Amino acid sequence: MNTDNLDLRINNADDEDLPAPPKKTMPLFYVVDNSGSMAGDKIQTVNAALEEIMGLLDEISKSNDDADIKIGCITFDTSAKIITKTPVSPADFKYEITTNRGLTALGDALTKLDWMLSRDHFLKGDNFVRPVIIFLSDGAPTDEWESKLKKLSENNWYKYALKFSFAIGKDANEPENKSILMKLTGSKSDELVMEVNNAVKLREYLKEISVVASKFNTRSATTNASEDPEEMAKDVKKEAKKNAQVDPATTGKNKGKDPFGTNW
Amino acid sequence: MKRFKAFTSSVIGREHVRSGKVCQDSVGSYEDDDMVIAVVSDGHGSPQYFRSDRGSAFAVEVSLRCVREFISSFDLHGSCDSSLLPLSELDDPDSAEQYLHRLEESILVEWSNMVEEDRYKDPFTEEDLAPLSPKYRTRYRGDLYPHAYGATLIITAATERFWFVIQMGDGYAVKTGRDGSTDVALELDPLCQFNISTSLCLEDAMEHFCHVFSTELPAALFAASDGVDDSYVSRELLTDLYESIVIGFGNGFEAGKKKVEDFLPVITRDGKGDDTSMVGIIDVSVIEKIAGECREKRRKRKDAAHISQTSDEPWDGLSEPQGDAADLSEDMPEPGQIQDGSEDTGDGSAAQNEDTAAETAAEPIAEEGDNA
Repeated sequence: MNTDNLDLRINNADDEDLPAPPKKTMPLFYVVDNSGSMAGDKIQTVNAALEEIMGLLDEISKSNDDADIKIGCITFDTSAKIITKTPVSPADFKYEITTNRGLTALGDALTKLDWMLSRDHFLKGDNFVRPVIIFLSDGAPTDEWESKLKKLSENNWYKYALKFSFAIGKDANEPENKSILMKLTGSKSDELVMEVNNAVKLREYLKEISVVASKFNTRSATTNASEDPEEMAKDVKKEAKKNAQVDPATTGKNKGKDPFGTNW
Repeated sequence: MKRFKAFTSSVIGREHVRSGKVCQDSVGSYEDDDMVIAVVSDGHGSPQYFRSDRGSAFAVEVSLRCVREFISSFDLHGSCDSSLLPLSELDDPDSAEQYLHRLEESILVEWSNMVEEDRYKDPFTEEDLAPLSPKYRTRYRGDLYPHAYGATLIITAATERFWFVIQMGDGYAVKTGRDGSTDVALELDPLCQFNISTSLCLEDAMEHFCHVFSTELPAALFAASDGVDDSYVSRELLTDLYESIVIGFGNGFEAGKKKVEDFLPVITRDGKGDDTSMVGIIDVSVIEKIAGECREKRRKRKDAAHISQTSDEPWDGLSEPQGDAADLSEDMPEPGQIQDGSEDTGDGSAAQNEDTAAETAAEPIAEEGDNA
């Protein structure tokens, strides 16, 4: 049981003082496919994006009186690994995700996420608000995932979280694989699945989704806690797409085309 | 009543002020030589519960009346008045259970009557209904209009011989015993999670009352709307808060009451931002001694915390250096293992209650909704 908050307040406060409500914490989870097919440009882009994102999230956290942001991270290849045993501030998240020639154990990742989403484990001690969860994958899972997702869906932290999926590359955007990523968002439409087929899109959308979702959710820690998470997530995506610097060319021979190509 | 005294305090939520909403919490208390009663009710915040401020006020009014009548129906002084029920009727747990059940029924019936009367005298207008979804407009033109008055309820009551708490919906009742221990008096209905709560307005509301009854008198009883416990979300933070409040009452009843009154605005300002209300019953004959014991316990905890902070054990904020996988704790499920939440989480029952969804029937739950 993490009693850091409690003990510090007892240490610092006069016995006669009533303990002030602790600042809220918004947990932001990244569930990252680091199977063999993510090697090279894809995982490098994820790492570069996360490094940039952590700087931005640190600023948001520091400037926000209502809530801090803390990071949780799971990677999954042949098995899933919890990278952050306890919630980590963005400034302290300095983890470089690597790939082996591994498979894609999404089911194991979902099991571990379910375990983390508990006040007895990752979410203990602090005044946590609903999480933001971002899934990133470039292909089909290779383990049994459906029963794990069903179990995870009974977890209220997951149920009320803002959830997004990133379909990285051509394989992930095949209808069958995209449907899996859609199910991870808890939505019946694929509106919360971000299709990214090049490094620029991945970096920009991941950055904007992370930043906008964090701003929305830390603000809504006190005002909009009742809003439907799917509707909130759609609003986040709309805002994020507006901000991302990935517009198709508007003039010239490439007008309307993706200026960054479809490398993946 | 010489031994017990009641206090009530309520502040409008920071977010309600910002959005121009009225305070939807209501509080009330009653004291005489035989009993002390303190009640808090929290009207739901979503737009469809647009008369929940009235609903919570009705809840407090009928609760005080019904509980007063209930307690007065017992022969508290052994007078052998045949018009009164013998106190021994409450010695048997099943019998006490039935009496409390009937009390809850009477509260619900009288609340429903007040709602019906209010709607009759002041019918819903098209302006009231216009902002609502078609679903709610249809409901409120039909028989489900009580939903507009939806509210939670916590009643605390004490006599020289017994005490009880009755609860519908969220918020916590907390008890400090004569041994100085402070803990939640009643566990929440499992259906009350996140911003969802059971409510007086539900068609099956009788199924969702919870209560506790005891003849072991407490040192203090508290009840608060969820504006408090949503700002102190863990059991440890919540009991720490109430222990501090008990310590405050050790300096005298009025001093303790003022401390609470001065602090509720801090909770709404720095915490959830909701309407924040607290009521309590204090045994003034023992509270100074109990407060001293609580103070001593906190000092010991403080000393123990200081020792652990200065020990050599490092705080593990990030499990592994770059490039390596994290160690997993022992009870972490292995790949391929289907996790049974009750087994794998150590403290399985607490995790189960908090983190797994309750069964939801088609329409039993009221969404408290937007608290802004």
